[in-house]
Amino acid sequence: VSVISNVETGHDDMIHDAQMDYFGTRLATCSSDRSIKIFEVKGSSQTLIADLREHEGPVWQVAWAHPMYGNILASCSYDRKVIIWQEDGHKWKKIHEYANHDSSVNSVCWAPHEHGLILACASADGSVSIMTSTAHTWESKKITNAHSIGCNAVSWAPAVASGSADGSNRSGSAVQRIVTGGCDTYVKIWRFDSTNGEWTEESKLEGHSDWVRDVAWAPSIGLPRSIIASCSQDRRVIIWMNDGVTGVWQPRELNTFDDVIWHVSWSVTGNILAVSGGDNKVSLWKESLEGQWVCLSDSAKGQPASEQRTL
Amino acid sequence: MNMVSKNSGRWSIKDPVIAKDMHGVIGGISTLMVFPHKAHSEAEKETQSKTEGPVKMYQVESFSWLWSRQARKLINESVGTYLSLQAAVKEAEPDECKPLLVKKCREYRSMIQACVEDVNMSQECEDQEEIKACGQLLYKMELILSLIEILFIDIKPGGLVLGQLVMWIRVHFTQCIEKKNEAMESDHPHLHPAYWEAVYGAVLQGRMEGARQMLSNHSNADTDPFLSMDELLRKMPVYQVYGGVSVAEFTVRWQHWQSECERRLQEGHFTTCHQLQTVCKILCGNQQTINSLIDLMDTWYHLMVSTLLFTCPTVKLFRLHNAAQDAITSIGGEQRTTPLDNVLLAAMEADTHQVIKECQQVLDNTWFTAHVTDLLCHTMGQKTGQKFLPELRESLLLDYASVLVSHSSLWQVGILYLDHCGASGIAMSQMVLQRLPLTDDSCVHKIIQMASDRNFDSIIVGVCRIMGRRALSQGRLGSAIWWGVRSRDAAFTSHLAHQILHKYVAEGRFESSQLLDHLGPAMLLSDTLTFLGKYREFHMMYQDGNFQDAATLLVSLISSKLAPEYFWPVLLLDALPLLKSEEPVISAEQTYELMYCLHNLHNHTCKRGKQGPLENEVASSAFIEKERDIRLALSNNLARAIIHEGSIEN
Repeated sequence: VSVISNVETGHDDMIHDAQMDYFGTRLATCSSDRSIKIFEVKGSSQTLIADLREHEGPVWQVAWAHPMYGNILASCSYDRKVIIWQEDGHKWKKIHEYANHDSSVNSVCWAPHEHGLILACASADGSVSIMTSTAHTWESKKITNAHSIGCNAVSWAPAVASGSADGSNRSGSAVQRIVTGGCDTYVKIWRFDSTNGEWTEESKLEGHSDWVRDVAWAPSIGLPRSIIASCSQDRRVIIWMNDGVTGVWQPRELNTFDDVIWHVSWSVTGNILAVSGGDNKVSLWKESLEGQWVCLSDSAKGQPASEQRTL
Repeated sequence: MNMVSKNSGRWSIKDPVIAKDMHGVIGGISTLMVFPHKAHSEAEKETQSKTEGPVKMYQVESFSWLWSRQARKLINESVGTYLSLQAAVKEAEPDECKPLLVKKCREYRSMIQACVEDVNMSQECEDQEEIKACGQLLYKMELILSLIEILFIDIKPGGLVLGQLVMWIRVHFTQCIEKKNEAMESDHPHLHPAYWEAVYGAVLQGRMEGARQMLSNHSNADTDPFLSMDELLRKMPVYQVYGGVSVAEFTVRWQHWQSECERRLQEGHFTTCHQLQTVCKILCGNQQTINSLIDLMDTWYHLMVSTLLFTCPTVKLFRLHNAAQDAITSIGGEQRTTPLDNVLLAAMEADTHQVIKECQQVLDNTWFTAHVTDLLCHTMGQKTGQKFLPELRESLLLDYASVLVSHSSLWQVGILYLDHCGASGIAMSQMVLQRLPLTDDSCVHKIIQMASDRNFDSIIVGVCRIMGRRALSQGRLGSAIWWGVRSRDAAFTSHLAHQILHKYVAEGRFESSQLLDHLGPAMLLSDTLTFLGKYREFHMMYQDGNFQDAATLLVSLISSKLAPEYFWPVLLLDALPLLKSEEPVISAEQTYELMYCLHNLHNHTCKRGKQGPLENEVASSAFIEKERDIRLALSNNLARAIIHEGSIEN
């Protein structure tokens, strides 16, 4: 049973991404019309508070940083740039621009705040940049040739080392890891080696037969295992599970859909996965007690002529 | 524009713009954002496609019965019972468990009952459909829960269950009472159309007193058939669990009674009144007769209980499912059963797993399944074959709690439940506490309190950091420092302390001095903060007239290098009145320190002066004017101090 409210975004073209901030009080949307719009959300009403136009091409993704760094938003675009914005008073301004990629930057993702203010960007030129903020400067490191042809998605692993659910502050001991998906059909996991300051490939997961479009590392739910979801143009979503003991990633195919799947995202509680794709449906999946992934609901589009379903 | 559908879980959005492609992203704790999407590759071609309308985004949230007013009350009351149950079970002896669980089960039932009354009272202004649905839901919940109490929790010794089942039926099927009242209130009860139905209904529920009362109002009540029937009804043996009569003895008595009924029937005692014949047939346990009265009973479980009452009153719990199957067959078989029936059937088959599963089908809210599974889990204890229960319980409680935490006023209740859900519960608790919007101070303090009760230190630190940042962005430096200290963030606090010092240098006054004066040991978090605190102390000593101590403190601040360089001019200027005071308060040693400081400052200033224009700060310019003054005062004081100290020694 659902309650739906809608907001006229005012975008002139299709929306590529929409992200709620940490507390669910702000919403950022980005579109092919090259703008980023920020809304303030109160209950079921949304008011536009900022319209940011600095990109010169469709903006693919936006990502909110943790609120303890202030109100910071990152965006990436077809124009090969990554822009970082900050709210100052009631105005948003650009605080950093990164233009070190050779083609479209497809995905951005902030690291868990325990690691600091760090942003990962995946680009169609096949490389991944990791930008770290110290004082007021940004340093960047590149993983070149992460995926041949292009890199489509990047996602950070949660900082709480699985197994320690006691909430104690484990600063300094958390390992930095990211997962990336690319046009070479692979899903790769990278680890940051603090001794030599370099990112190294830790695992290469094979399972998809076409471009991997999105990857998402599930938030920690207090169990020692890690879960990654990946979706691909081969119309499949694969759930990769690592039990935290053997260090091996086991794939499990969630489903084969009717069309390409573009996006997967995890709920904040880490146990529900939203899958959306070309078959024009958004479905929610959850793991049952028996270890099977079951679909909670389907949300199908409506043409003006479609019948409405009742109980 | 949208239709919602309960059990099938599908819903559609009518929007031509979305018609091509839809994209959903999860945001917040339980919100789904849905919007029209264009594939990457198409967009890269940069074709100017015209959208067919304004581009809208839809915010989809899961709505649950639990948000309704009636449910809110239930949620808030049941959490108390739940928590006390968990605590009591931990401490109880094994044989104390049962009465405890029965008590808690009855508490839940009374809460549901209170909700039912609430629903009945709120008639006029609210949505009638919703009220009706709510009422039905609550009825079902109470029906199932009371049966579970009888069959699982409050099992009587010997497993003889009929007495409780008869009570259960009586409570939930009250048509016969209504009919009786209807008939009795009329002028000629025995002529009222509902009269005999009321009599049958009463007998079928074992309400012999009621039936006798009605029959005595018949115009022919003095005739033989009626007197005979009255006697039969009066003498029917009823089994009491703690009555002192053994099962065997009761069975003998009962069979004797039933033979008497049969005898009287055969001997034609009731031929003059066919309704009385029907009643007697019921008493003889005549299945056909009982089945023919199905309209008065409505459901197979009523039929089952009524049949058992007159065929096998000492039925044991484990035989119940046979009787249930027979009853279902009599009403037309499985195709006529509803999901609710399936729950009750599963209960009669003592299949806990099935009961819970069927409950999830019938009721779309997680309150019931979570609490029932919790009760059953504690009841079953360590019994074999029920190993799935603890895991299922945790999973259902997590489901219930995760619905609660996504609501702005129920999240605290949710966290209380999460405390009992193992490691996953703790993780979810932490996540929720981090993600709650920090709307106002009371909310923040609540969150911090809950986090500290559970020793979630990292969360407290995180929240304080966010609040500190927020205060800073609003210009409330003192407040920001207070949060910074609580978050144990040395870097942030230093930064703020510097800001305050700079402000003082620029404007000559302190902001939020009260907060700074009460930092206490917390000021040791960062050097700059310590300096700030100590400097405030110096001010206070000076104002109190405690010049000696003030001077000592000032000098120690300078010599310990605790003071940031930009602040030295201020300190030296502060030293000036002390140097010029009538009584020497600054010793020779201390004067040397001050001179050294001045010397360093002078050198640095000259260096900077060669490199570029000096900073245009009030203190800095004041300092330059006074530099000669300070030098003079220092020399004078030095002389005075040496003399003074020399003479004391002598």
